[in-house]
Amino acid sequence: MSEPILRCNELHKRFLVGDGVDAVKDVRLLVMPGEFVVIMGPSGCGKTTLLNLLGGLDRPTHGEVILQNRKFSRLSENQLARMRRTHVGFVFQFFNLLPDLTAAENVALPMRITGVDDREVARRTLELLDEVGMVDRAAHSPHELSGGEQQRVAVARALANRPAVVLADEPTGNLDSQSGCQVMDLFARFNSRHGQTFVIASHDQAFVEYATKVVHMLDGTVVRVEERAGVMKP
Amino acid sequence: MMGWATAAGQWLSRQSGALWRRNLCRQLGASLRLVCPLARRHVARHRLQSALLAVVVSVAVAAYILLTAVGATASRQAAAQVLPLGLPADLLAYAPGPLPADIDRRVFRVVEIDYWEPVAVAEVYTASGRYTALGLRFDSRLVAGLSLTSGRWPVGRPPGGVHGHAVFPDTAGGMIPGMVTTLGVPGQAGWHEVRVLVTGLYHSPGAPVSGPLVSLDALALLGEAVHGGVVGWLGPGYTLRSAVAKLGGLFAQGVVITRDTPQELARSLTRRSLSPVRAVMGLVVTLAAAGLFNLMLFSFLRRKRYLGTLKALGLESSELGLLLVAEAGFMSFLGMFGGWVLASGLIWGINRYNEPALRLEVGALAASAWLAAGALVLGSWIPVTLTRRATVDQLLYNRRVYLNPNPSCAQCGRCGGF
Repeated sequence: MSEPILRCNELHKRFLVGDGVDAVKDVRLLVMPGEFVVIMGPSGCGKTTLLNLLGGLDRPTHGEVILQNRKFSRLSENQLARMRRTHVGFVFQFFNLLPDLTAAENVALPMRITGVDDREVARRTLELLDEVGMVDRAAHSPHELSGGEQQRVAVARALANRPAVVLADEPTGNLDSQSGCQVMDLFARFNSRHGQTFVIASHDQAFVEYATKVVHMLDGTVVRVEERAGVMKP
Repeated sequence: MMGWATAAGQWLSRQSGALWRRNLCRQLGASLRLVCPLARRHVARHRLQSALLAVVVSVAVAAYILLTAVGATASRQAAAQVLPLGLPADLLAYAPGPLPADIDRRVFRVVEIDYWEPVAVAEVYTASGRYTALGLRFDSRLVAGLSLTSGRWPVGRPPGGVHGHAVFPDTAGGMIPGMVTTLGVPGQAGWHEVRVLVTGLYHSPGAPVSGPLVSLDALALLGEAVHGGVVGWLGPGYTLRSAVAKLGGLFAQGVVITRDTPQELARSLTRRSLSPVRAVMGLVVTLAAAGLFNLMLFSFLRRKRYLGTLKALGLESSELGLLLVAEAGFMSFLGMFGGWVLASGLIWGINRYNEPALRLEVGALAASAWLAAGALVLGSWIPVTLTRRATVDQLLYNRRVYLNPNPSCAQCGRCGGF
């Protein structure tokens, strides 16, 4: 059996607000390569916080996150940033495309950050935009794109550096149902065709159809982990 | 400019010998290559805000250059009053205005250096309260420069009463501050007898004066009305040289004779005339920095999610800081050029109606670059620190960011954060 690509042990996050809020409590999670993990739960149950901890966007109060055998707690802020740029892709609920850049430049940005040479950046950008069906909109600014289109560009950007894992926080939460379906299909396609590992936080039940593992959360704890047969083909 | 900065980084990288410097330059070059296009896009997209930033710097730079030009002109004027002589000692002879008709100005000119022996300094007041200063021999006969203010010096008749005061060398026997003596002052119609008050003793040349040469009692005898604002007294902390400069400043039409070299005098006078400029410059830098700070802080607060996204994508804190500095630096650079143009225009306009003409100094242009850089550093320090300290979580979800990285700071929250 292969090694887990991402795992966390007794992960705990306490926010120092008022008397203190425990957003994530002693969470254990294993993510195997090629898995499509969906974290489900009601609003405020700690999905986003858990995702932030898994992606190294925030540091746990205690516990450990290990991505490809590297412990986040042992990394400095700069090492963590370098880890994020090469090993983790992010898709946000509000897309978070840079408004100053075009769609193609947004997709190319992670590669520019890692220092990929210009020719490879151009080739890979075109390839990704083609895969998400946005080649004809490559030169458009984010404000000229619809929500669904922006999210497709964001997905392409998350995949630019071929990360070990893509973390998506409510990726369809700000989209209409049709656009949401398109984005879900996109995730599923990358998962099935390229073996891309996804961890998605959502309360959209439709994602469960694609999941190989569903993690149910409540009040900061994992209440149930449901293993599923496989991804529904898009 | 961004391309230039990148090229400069790469050039520095090639040139520097030490390994750490090479690494630093390589990293800086790579970072600039990354952040410069982003900064350029941001500046282009937010033209109004960027233009405001450039205007703030422009005004500061122009104000600085203009003030420097005014200061330098004042310094040149003061220096023109100074007549440096190769004298063997510090000797002051001061003429604050045009000479009266019966005083031969040539007396001043024909003095042979050999004759000039620094035995005493006297400052004499006419009956009208006007002022002069004389270089005198201890026997009270005039041997050196002489001039008097415009005023009524009665021909052939010395003014009555005590007309002035004198400072004698500390070797002068029998002279004590407060005593009245008589000095001979030549006019075309003959010698004037001038009664003066001995107000102090003259210390060895060039030595710092440790205490006031003029006693307060003597000043009281002369009366404050005569003295008010007239005399650059050699008070505590003054050297004779700075007293010369001060006298020169007090009397715009006067002539100061001193043994100082022209270079020393120019330095002393320039320092003096530029001191208010420096004070105003400090104010201008502070104002420019405050303007920059406001705009950059606004930019930071408005773009938290933008910066958070970049950080999430893997930009290091230092690169994010560099991004903000590059944006502000780009506009500061433009602002500096704008300031030069503005200052040139203002000086040209002022010179059309004002004498003496102000000059655009090359040194001031160079110094204004430091001013712009200083304003940039002061103005960007807090926004850049906030950007560097903020976690991705704080930026992405628009949470408050604190200058103090201590987590308990967030719990306290007294300062409110940003």
